[in-house]
Amino acid sequence: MNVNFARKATGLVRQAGAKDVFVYNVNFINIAIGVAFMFLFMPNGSYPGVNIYISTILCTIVVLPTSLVYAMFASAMPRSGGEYVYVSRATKPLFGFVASWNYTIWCFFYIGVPAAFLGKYGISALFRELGVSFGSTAMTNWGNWFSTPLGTALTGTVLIIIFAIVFIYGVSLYMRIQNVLFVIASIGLAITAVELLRHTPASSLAAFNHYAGTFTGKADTYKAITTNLGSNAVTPAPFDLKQTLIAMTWPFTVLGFSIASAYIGGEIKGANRSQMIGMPGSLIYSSIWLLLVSFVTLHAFGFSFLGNLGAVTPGNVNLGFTPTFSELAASLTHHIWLVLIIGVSFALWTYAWLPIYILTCTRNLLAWALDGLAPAKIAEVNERTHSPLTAIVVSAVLGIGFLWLYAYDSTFSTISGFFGQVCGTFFITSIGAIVFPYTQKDMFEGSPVAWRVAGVPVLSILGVLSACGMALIAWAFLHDPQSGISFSQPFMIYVNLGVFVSGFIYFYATKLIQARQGVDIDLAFAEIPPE
Amino acid sequence: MAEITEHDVIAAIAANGGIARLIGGRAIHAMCGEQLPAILRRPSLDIDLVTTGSSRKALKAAMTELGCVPEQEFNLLNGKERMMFYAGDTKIDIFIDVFRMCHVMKLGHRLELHPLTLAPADLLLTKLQVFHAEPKDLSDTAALLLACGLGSGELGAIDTGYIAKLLGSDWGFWRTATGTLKTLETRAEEIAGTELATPLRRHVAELLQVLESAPKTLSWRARALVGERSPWYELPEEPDSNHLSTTA
Repeated sequence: MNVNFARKATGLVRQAGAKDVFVYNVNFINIAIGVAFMFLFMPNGSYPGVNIYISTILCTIVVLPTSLVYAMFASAMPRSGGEYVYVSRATKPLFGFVASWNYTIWCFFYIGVPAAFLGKYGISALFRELGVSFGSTAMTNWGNWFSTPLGTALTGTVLIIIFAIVFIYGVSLYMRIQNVLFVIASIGLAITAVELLRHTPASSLAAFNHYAGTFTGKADTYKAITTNLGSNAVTPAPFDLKQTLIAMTWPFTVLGFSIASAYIGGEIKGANRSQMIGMPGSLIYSSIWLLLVSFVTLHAFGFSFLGNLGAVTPGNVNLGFTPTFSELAASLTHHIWLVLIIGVSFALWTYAWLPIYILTCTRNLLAWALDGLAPAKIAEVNERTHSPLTAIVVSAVLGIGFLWLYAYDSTFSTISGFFGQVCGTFFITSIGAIVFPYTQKDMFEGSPVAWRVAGVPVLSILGVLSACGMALIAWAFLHDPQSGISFSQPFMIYVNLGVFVSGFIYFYATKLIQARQGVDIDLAFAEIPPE
Repeated sequence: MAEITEHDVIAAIAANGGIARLIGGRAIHAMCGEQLPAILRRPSLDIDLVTTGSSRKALKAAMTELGCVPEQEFNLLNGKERMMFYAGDTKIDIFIDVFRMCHVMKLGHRLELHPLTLAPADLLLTKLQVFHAEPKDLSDTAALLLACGLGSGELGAIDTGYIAKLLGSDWGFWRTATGTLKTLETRAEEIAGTELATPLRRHVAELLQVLESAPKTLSWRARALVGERSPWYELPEEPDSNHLSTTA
């Protein structure tokens, strides 16, 4: 059956262009948060012999096929809903729904996490930097408050509400906001990199001790750190490939998500070009940035310093919270404007995941509701705001709930949800890519990505590579001592499994409930929109 | 279902307290009436309308009363400025306040000027804004110019003052509109036939002269400095791919 529903129409100008898509995906990757995570967790001794550059490059290579799979799918089926649309068509609606359900539930959770990042990593550091610059203990204390569970949760709640309001006004408004903030954040990141490049470990150590001493009360904070760590202090180890592979989980937390624009595919102009540039392009661009900023950070502070800083419990040396690379860069200068630029631009990176998660959840909810898999109310357009208010409010409310859970329950302060997205969504989508050219021959042949190598569809080849890549990432998660998920710590495995299996239960339960009300969901799936 | 006409839709919206006016091929036919030369007549299946944001409730009520089927996914994602319905095989495409295609026209305040369609000047602009003008767009443009003629505010004539003021503040729109007019000038015989080509060329030349000599705003001049180095128009796509449905 032809599924393109082609009919003559007067045309439509969609809301997001190629530039918007690129920025959208780079924001969802989030370069600064990526570098921050990498230096908070990779050199701290958990992966002896890790090479940050090789880990980042390998991760880029491993996730590139997945990025290309989503880009090609989005090009072949330029519709909102991501894998819900792709996998449903390539395989069966059940699998499409389960993959989408799995991703969306974790997205709800991760609405809360970046909302927490603004307070936890962004504003807290900014206030501490300004507190030190102005010699204001009060500002430093405010900074510490923003990193507390209450500070994190309240700041995040305000942020979620602000972005929910933005989306009520429309996606194009958000695109304009994101583009402006992205330019500011990128310029700030470049300035941060230049400041780091100007220093060597010797000069940086002195600057750090001077900076940190104002709130730790110690003349030599770094010495206090190494003393506190004792035999656990980090020492450089010879290169270890296995540890380098396992540590890919950290670059993956950002580089694995260049696919955000797949979920708003129906709102993107020139889907083929925009998505093919926007997804793999943003991955390569961000990967280069990760490598550059990693280089200047290591150039300025050295591996051991960053490792020990990441390893020490901050409270043990009066640090309050562990400084990220951005705060370390701010510690290198006494120019208040430079401190402000570094701090504000980093804060502008910390929020970036949040609105994209809200939009992803909203679009997936709408897709389900239109097919009868979620209450029809969710797909209603509000009379006053002319936007899908219910879907936005549901996403925001669930996001706020998960934010408070994340802020107060350390069990969920992990990246283990990404494991679920890898196994329960990206892997299934990869399988969908393998079979799509064969199960939907007409659609594939009619698409702009009907490419072949030696007679084999490129999409199928990429699907195989993507599935292998995701299997490798899943292995890394299970062996990573800091991922929060492993066979020796199975709680989060059960949570991930529960989320995945609940998709099947929800699908069949909804089908049953709808059938009792006289609605056959299969008909909804089979229905062709009126000509 | 009996065939629904544009008159039915506009009347139903009015009966519910709203306002809507016709655009597109049917509007041009209605505007030009019997004066429309045979060579410029073309069938128009769709009903294209413009309404106001405040008429939204009336629009929905009218569509329900008429038994029209909403294009649910499309309306969900684009309903702020655009809605689509089906009456049997007839598509009803409704712009709300704003006509956003290759260029943007704010039309919410222009609906009272004519009882059935948009004013001739606005109808002409909806055709002149098309960057890749097809024969049907050129044909409609020719029909309007020949049937309505150029004027300065006279009822039924194309208000050149209004067009000049609008395009004098938007270089991109001005560039596309003058480009379309020049194409029409070149293809006058092909579009309107030998007999009508001469009067058509005269109208086109007159309108081009008005647009050239009209005062330009500072932003128009600033944008003109950039010129064609930066894109000045949007390219609308088929809206069909908005479907969220997983239908296979």
